[in-house]
Amino acid sequence: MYTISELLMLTMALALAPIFIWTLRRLELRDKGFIGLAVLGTFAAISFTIAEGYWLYDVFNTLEHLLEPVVAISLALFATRFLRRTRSRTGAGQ
Amino acid sequence: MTGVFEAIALVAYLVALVCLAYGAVTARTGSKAPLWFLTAALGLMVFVSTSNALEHLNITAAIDPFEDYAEILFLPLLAYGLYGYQVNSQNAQIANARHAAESEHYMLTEIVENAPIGIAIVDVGGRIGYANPEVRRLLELEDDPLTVGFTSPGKVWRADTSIEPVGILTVDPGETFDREHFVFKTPHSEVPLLLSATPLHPEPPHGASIVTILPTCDA
Repeated sequence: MYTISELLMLTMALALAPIFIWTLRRLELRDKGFIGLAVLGTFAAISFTIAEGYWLYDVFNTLEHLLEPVVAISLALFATRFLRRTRSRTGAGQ
Repeated sequence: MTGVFEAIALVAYLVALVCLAYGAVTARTGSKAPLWFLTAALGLMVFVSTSNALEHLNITAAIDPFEDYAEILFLPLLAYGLYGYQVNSQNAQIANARHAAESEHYMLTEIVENAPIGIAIVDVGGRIGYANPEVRRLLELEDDPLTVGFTSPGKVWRADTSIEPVGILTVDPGETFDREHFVFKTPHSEVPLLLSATPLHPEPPHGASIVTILPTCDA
């Protein structure tokens, strides 16, 4: 029903959750919400991957695949804003 | 439909990867490592998305067996990158605070050292703890390595008393006065001075006092 790698990912996500929470609460970045969204999305996707093996396969599978672009776009928004801010701060490209 | 999601994710991951890689290349030395970890995490997700997109668009499933390895490494790399960035930010804040404190200390020291009036810190027993160059000049102070204090050929007397002071410059604990007449007496000369004093701590026990000294013509 589930693969070892999926279980390993879920364990890792649970183990790393306190570090993510601790770091994100203290991180002084204006767009850290996007990272938070991406991390939450990844956690949810991992959970859905395991859940789809037991219950409501179509729903959880669709949700899992829907979360992929959500996570990716969140990270892309964070990265572009981060780059723009650091470039304007350092005056790069001027 | 899932193929479209994967394709969108792939493009977004690529954008994020390029932005963070550029940020890592151009970052200051201290911030480079965490940004490279974040870039590596995104590189793994580009690999995963490429694999998924190729699979769901029915192109090939050749790299699918390796996808899990990349997916497993994503979260630890992301966590380490963020944690490293946060630690770097804290270090930068500490360095900035230290620099600001040093600058402030330097500025205050320069003000006191170059002030046109004498400024001294006097302990309860009449021991001079600090004397700026003007006080050293007026009271002819010399460093005394034995007591880690100063020696002088004379003492500062109150103008209206004949009681010999205990130390070179003696102020009672908690005593406050403003531009009172004193005389610096040495075996060879008498120099009239105007002294002001205020305790370093306003509440008892007052401890040391801050004394300002001005030379004056009238004794």
